[in-house]
Amino acid sequence: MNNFFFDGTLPLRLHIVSIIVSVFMLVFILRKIRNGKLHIKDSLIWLFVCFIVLIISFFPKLFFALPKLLGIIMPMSALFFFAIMFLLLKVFNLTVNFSRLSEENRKLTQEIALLKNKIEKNEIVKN
Amino acid sequence: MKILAILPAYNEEASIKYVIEKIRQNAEAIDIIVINDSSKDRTSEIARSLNADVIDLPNNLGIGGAMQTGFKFAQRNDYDIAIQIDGDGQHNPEYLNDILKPVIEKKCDMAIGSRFIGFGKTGFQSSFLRRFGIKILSAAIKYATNFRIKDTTSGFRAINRKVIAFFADDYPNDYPEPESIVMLNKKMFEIMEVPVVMSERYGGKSSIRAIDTIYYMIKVLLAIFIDCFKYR
Repeated sequence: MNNFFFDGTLPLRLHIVSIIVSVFMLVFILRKIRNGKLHIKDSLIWLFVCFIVLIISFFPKLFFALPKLLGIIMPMSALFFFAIMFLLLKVFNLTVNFSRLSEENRKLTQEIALLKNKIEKNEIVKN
Repeated sequence: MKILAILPAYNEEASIKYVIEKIRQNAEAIDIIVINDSSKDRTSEIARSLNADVIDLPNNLGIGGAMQTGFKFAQRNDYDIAIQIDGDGQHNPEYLNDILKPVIEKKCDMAIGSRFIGFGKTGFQSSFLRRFGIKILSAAIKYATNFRIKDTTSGFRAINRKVIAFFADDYPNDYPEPESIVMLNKKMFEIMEVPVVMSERYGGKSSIRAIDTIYYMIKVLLAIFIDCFKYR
């Protein structure tokens, strides 16, 4: 029996679909970088994820090595576990960055407002 | 002695004229700076038409960010004392000199106008729910700092040069009044409450909606708790 859930062998069609999807993901990210919509610094983690997905698509059996090593019986649970852990960390990291950006934004807004006020006063004095 | 009145204003076109004129009537020597927090109405134009100095924030920063802009302005222009008066008419400028006095006489670093002590009790006392919230905050601050303050959310304040410098560098963002009391107390600044009579809002709407009150309480209580560890 071909069953990914038990021995990691994928049905041919699913195998092909997953390879296509992961290649598309990679192309999508690379295009975003080329168009300047994504910084290289921020893209690294997603390229890494893409790379892992690609490898697993080509060699699904590899995916079984890690859960086995950790003693996890159901590989699918391991998949969800790692995916959720990754997403949680990523969202937290985004929240931290968001706080930092609002802080920087606040300082910039204040500086611009103070400078504008100063310039207006200088112009009044000149006239 | 250079004294600056900072008026944070967000959509206060109905009351800003009244507040500016009343300040001028009661204390001529005080400079006024209106911090227009990206108002969508004519707050800035009205203030300018009265020849008041206006700082227009290009983004809405909220009361904390707006006040800090005023503190930075006070610091850079070498003011000795800064007063915060809300632009909504709740703070009666007739009591300006009452909150100034203890700071000028160096009795404290920050004087807070309180509607819950002395003759202040004769004025506007806020809704029951608000008063309850203010009491809880008062208890939390007492617990955190061993310092009793009754009107924890009053934004009618005077601060001296040292506090201006401290706030220009570090001031809470969202609901700064209660939190800034804890910050100053932990930094060994002297705080004093002075009775003032407050009025109901002259016009416009309060920036804190009833629905937000619970979120407000949780946020401020958490901030007080964290400040206990942050400033030691």
